[in-house]
Amino acid sequence: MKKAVIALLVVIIALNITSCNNKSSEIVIGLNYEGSGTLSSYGRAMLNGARLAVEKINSAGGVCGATLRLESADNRSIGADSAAAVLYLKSVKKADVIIGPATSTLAKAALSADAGLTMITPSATSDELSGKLVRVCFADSVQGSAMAKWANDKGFRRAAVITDMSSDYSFGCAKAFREAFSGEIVFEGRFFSGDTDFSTLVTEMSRTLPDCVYLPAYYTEAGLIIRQSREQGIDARFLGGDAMDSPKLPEIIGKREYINGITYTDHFSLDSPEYVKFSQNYLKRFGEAPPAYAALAYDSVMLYCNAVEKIGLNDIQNVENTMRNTFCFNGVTGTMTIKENGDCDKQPVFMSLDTN
Amino acid sequence: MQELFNSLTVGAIYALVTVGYAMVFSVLGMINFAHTDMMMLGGYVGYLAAGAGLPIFFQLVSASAVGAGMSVFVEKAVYRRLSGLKLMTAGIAVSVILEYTIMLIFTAEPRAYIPLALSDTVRIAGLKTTQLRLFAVAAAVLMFTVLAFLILKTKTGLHIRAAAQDSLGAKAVGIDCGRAVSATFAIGGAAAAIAGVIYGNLYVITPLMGSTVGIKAFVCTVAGGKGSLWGAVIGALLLSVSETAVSVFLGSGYKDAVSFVILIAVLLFKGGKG
Repeated sequence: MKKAVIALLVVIIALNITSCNNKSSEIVIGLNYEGSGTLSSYGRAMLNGARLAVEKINSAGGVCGATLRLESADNRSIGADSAAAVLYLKSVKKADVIIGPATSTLAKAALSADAGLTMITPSATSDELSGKLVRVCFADSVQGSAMAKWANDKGFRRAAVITDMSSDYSFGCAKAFREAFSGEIVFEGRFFSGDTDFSTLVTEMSRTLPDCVYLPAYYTEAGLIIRQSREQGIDARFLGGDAMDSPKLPEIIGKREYINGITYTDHFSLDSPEYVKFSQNYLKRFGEAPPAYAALAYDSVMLYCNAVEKIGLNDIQNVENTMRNTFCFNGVTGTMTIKENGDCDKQPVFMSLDTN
Repeated sequence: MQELFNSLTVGAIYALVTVGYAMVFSVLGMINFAHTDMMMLGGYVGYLAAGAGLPIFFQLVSASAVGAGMSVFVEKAVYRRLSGLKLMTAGIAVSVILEYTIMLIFTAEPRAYIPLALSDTVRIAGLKTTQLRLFAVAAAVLMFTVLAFLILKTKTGLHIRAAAQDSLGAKAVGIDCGRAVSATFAIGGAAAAIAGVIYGNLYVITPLMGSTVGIKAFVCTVAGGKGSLWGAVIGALLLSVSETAVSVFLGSGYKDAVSFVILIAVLLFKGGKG
């Protein structure tokens, strides 16, 4: 009898020291995403990427025996709704983790809900978010200065900088670009999200004869500014940030000959084997090529599951600390190390649109 | 000079939208909050027509037909039964219903016309612009010429003017005021829808695109005299030139504030009870 009790205790202890102990049979992934509104191109891609990751994990038996359930809340690209989405996912859907939102301003709004849940943002790049959440993307200071160094290397000497005054992302990127650009900033333009007519701004800019224009803006305004600049004969190269990675950008620019001379920083290389495999699966599942935001949401879910695998379900409350010390996680957007402050150590790649 | 031309294009769109506001106000004394949604509807009809490969002429014709038809439908189905504050409130309700219906169908995502009409760049007297921007100005001038003819020289126009001046008197002399009101809504709706097609080809369309333009058209209406056709044109030009001036001297980020400054200035200095 004594031996049987000891054997039982050994089994119990063994089960407990194995990380994947089956405390709960389900993990709820809460997705706070831009499902509608002006940034919906990002949100829909995020939703698809997260779906693909959840389906992959579940088809492989789940995480530590627990299946994943994806619950989503559309923040309509509005700050207040982003905060409400977090509370809804926590209180109603009982989410264990929040993935999203895509953009920095909405991520700040989501943090203001103070829900006490781990938040992983696929693509909110503002430097001000450091330490407040986990992210699988680089920060604005990284992509802004990388773009400036690229421009320096390519010999650009006269830069115009156009900033979206309603976007933390735009401010952060523009600041880093200005600091790292070795040439002259010949024009500073400002606008607000939602503006549509930039003809006066473009006219003023054309008089300063820039050879490149740094435009860290979301795809709607970026597309209209590029279109209206080309219409006024500005042939400078347009430089941007990861927000330009949207299939809507070429649509909004409109004319094929205008979709030319554009370079932006992005999160991954189209040629990497991991991305190619992900891209094939995504195409098969959703019938279209994946934007960066889909791949980043996929990596966000995978990073979380990787951390849960390490610590087990019983210790799931410490998953954020585990994620914050992840070294060389191999995602579809590249190999990344998540630092103590939650930032992702990953270098941007440069994507160019050149149709001529 | 380039800036002045830029402002003319924007002014043309404001003017096309403002005319409907002004006409309805002159006849019913009502600010029709759903009016700019006819612009939005026109924008989406034009978007579908462009997607079907129809040239801009057919985009404009189909959009103006839908804009006029919807305006008259709303007037007959909702507005005709109401007056005063209830009428204004109904206008807000119709606006919200239209916007969210379109949002359900098309989502809130901004949509660009494919292909863009008249998008080639042209140079005139040292100015760089597109054929479409020239077309926008020409369309506005043509539209106002037709409207002026319609209102000043036709029987329908006479009835509209009579209804606007004294609806009881008009009824007493046998004028069908209901028909005059419907004609007013039809003309305003068609003009707004035409503005929607031009706007869609110039920029992008969204279900809520009428809101921003609506505020500006409202300011143009107030600045121009709340019911005068020519006042609408003057108000539109005043606003668009002011916005451009602010964009040049302070930066385009501040231009939207101009409409409110003008509104307050007009309200303060124009006097009277409005």
